[in-house]
Amino acid sequence: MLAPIEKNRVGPEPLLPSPPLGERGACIRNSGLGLALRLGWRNLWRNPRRSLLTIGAVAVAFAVLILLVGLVEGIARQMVANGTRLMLGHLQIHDADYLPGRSLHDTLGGPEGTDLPALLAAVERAPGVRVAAPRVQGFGLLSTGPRSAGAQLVGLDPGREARVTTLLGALVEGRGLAGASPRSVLLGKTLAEELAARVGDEVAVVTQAADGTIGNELWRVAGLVQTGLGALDRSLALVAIGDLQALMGLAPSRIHEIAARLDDPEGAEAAAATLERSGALPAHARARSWRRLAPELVDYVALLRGSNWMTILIIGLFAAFGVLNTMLMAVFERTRELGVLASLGVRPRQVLGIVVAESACLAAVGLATGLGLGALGMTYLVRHGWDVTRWTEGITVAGVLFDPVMRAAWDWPGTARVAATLAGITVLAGLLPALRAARMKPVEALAAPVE
Amino acid sequence: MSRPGGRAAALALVLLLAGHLARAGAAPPAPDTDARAIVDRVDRLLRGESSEGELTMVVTTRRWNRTLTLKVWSQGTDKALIKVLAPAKEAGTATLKSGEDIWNYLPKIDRTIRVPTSMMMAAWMGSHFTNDDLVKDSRLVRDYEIAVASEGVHQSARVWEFLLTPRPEAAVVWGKIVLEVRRNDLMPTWARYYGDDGALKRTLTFGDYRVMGGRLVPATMTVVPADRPDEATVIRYASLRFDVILPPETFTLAALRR
Amino acid sequence: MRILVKLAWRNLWRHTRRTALTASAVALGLGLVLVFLGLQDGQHAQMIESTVRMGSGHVLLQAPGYQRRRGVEMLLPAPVVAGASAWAASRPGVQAVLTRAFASGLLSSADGATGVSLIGVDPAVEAPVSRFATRVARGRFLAPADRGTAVIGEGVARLLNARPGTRVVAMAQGARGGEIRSALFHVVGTVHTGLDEVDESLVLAPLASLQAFLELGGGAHQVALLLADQSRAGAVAAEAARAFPDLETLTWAQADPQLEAFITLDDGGTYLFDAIFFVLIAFMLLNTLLMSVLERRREVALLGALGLSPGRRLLMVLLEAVMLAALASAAGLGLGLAGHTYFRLHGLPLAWFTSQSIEAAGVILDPVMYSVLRPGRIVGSVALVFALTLGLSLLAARHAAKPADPNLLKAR
Repeated sequence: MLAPIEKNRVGPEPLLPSPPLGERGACIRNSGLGLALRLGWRNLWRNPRRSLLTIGAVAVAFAVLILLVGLVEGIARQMVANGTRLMLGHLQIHDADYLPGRSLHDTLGGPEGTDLPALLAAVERAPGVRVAAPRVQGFGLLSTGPRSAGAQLVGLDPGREARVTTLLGALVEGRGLAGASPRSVLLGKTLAEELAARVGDEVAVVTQAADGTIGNELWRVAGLVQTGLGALDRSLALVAIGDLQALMGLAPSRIHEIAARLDDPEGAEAAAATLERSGALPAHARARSWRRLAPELVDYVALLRGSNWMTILIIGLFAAFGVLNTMLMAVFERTRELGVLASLGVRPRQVLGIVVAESACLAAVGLATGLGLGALGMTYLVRHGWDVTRWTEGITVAGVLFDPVMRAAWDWPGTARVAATLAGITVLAGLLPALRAARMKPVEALAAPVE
Repeated sequence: MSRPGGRAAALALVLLLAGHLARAGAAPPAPDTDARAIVDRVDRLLRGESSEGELTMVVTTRRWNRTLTLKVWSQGTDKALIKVLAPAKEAGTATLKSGEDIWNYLPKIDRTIRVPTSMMMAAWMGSHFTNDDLVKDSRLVRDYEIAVASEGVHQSARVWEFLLTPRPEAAVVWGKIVLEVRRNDLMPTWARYYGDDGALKRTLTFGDYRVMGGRLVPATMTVVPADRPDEATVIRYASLRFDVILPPETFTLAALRR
Repeated sequence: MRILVKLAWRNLWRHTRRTALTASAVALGLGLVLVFLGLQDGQHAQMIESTVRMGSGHVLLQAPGYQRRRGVEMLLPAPVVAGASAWAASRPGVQAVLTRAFASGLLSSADGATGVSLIGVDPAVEAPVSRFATRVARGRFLAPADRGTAVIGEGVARLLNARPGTRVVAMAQGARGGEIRSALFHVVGTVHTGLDEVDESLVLAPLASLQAFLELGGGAHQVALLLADQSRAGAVAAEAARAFPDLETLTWAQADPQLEAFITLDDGGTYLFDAIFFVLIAFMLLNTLLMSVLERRREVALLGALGLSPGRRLLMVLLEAVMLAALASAAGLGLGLAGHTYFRLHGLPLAWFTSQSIEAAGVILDPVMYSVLRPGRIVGSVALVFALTLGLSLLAARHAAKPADPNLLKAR
């Protein structure tokens, strides 16, 4: 009944390999999981081309999904980095009244100010905080002879600021503030154009001082910065913190803001809460994470991740469809043999097991290959990224500059979820044909034409 | 951002700088037409007038107090030059108004800066004035409909209350102004400025009436913003002369620096 | 030839299940591709329309250098404005011709003041097409008979504590002589676009009022064209440049390069996505085609022995592939068009993905995505399916064209 295997035979091969004579009975009786798997595996390779192609489809789908998850994770992290590293920082500390009015009088610790070195040290001791930088902020009028314009004045500590944000690194002309002579200012490029000011020129600055007098001073343009964000480039004037305090009549102990950089942006909420509870902050001070300061950014990242999951689902379903396709064909063309098996006494549950095992093996090999391919692709994308600068200069989304070199980042939980989802879907896809196979009536099956 | 109270101060400042009505014993005005006549007389007296004066300005805010001694020259409603005499730290700071433009001179950095439109509502010298107030002309008769709202008694003097409602085309932001004037000598006692919604925005109070430069004037004016009644700007004239001959160089950018 | 066609068709249906499964896989892929293309194009079209109808246009005519410097004195004199408008109105496909003046200045009320961007528009032409008009939060939009009225952004209204009926004074530099001028406006309405930068600086006023205020002498800064078909912007701009060589002519993409860059990037993402689909479809197709060819080696050998040349055997396989592609495409088109029609009529709410409003490239994304499917997209996608199917079947058919192997004809 079970003919020996012929080479060069075209058409479906028998379901069971030809065992040594004495073991035939044993074969049929011994129907545990291990046997189902072994059979499933062997059945897979009875039609190598078809199996390889299907495995290929699953592998490509899985690799693509890994890359998608990695890319979206990478882009999300880049957006957060761009949004926080330019000027916001991961965390900011202000007097509770300071936002949103930004009155120059609402300094940390009130009119007496605060012990700045001690406060900075205390902030940096909080878990997850790497560096903290102090800032003084105000609004003033800049003038170069006939032209004048309003500007946002920001007093910085260049050394600390450079370790918290990339703002000072946006220098496009001239030199930075570190080590510059006193009363040097960096202007936003668009602001400088409006003032017709060049590096080396003098600008007069006028502002309301804390004691009500008119603070005024002459500053020299040391350099120009260009962040790419129009709102900043049109209005920023950066100086050393001491210079701005002198102009505004603020004592050195009075600052408006501390911006901090963390090891991991995701820890910002926890760090802010810890700082507020710790008592290290001056009275009436508040710590806020970037999530609360830039909610549009948070929304956009959520949108990115959400729509990515829809993509993953669709591609996954597609790959599963391919598996279903293949397995259905496999089952149908072996209808006759399944009938033979059934009439031999193999129970439907066992038939189910064999077919499911086949699709499981398919899925497993596909996933493993896909993982390998995906890992290769990820390694490249993580290290070099995907450069789309050619098409995309200076896009901002949710108020943040979009980085034209898209780098991927490993997202282990996400990848694991994708693997589980895909594995689940493909095995489920194999279930349908398996159920069909198991339910086949032997008499009908035996009568089916050989396809 | 802007200091309310400025506009009231402007009205007062202009009234003061350019000289003032007032002969004792003026006849009580008949309704409406005479009310207009009074205010119109003020307006016409303002034109072509010149003045020179010294005053102190005391600004009280929640955070700080300041006292400045100023010297002021004016010509009509078109030109004005204000110089800070004291305190020493700010002496030499000057503001020149010519038409609708303002320039500030800052002696510490020896620079003259033109104030752009975007800064027009910023406080002038930290007071409850704004740059805009200095710039604006007073055109009461042209910009407002004037009617007598009531008659009464204020601090044992008989007074009229005038209601000024802006004409539809007038470039003013007030919903209405209520001005109280003493009947016997036509001295203003107070002016209240209301927004479109009818809410009081600021109050200007006059006092200390005396003769200066040959005219009866209120030597003291106080501006109080309605949303911050604990703050005020008080102006007190030490001296005031009218109809002075002012050479044209008085109102030039060069004059700012002298 | 007819025999070949008949043979090919019959071959297809001899393996009903296999054909059906494969065709449905391809159809599903094509359908999905079409739906996504439609939604994507729809969203981009919305973004463009949004931008274009808020103080811009598909094609802009301005004084040379105006785009960069935006000086209030860089005027288009009244005759030029009239000439440009007349020319534009005569072009086919022009939905509206809008004349505008711009200035930046200070707006003050009894309660406050803030820097603003003033835009003078002709209410009669602007109101029917402007996105601002559809986003009125309080009061009303400008009316044709208005003089000295203003519609302000909600942010401006908040800073000035202004509402419909409030008096506000605008202060700006005039076009003649550059001295500062002021004028009164009555607020008649407020607008909420959702873009902070706009809401906190927008002031719309009747063009005539702004012309008087700034002493523009009847001139304006911009003649903007709204087209019925977005994609004609480049062509119309080129025509305008030829008709008015002394003026600066811009398309919306040139006026807003950031938006164009965003759309390009987004499109790129979609093409990638579609490519993935096609790769997966290719695997399935190859599977099917290979199977169908390899299983019938014996039969094909028989045909060869009967006198069918290798070329014709190849043709038969190709015909089969073409018919499969046609079937799949028809089904896929059906699916895709059905989906597109649904999303064209009802739209896809963004709320499924996020509860907030998202800003990208300076535009607030509409809360509902509507599908727009251009014929080019449909043709392209179907062509791709055919190309893929034919290409793969060629690959598989290498086997069919092999010389007949006599062993195959041995009886089994």
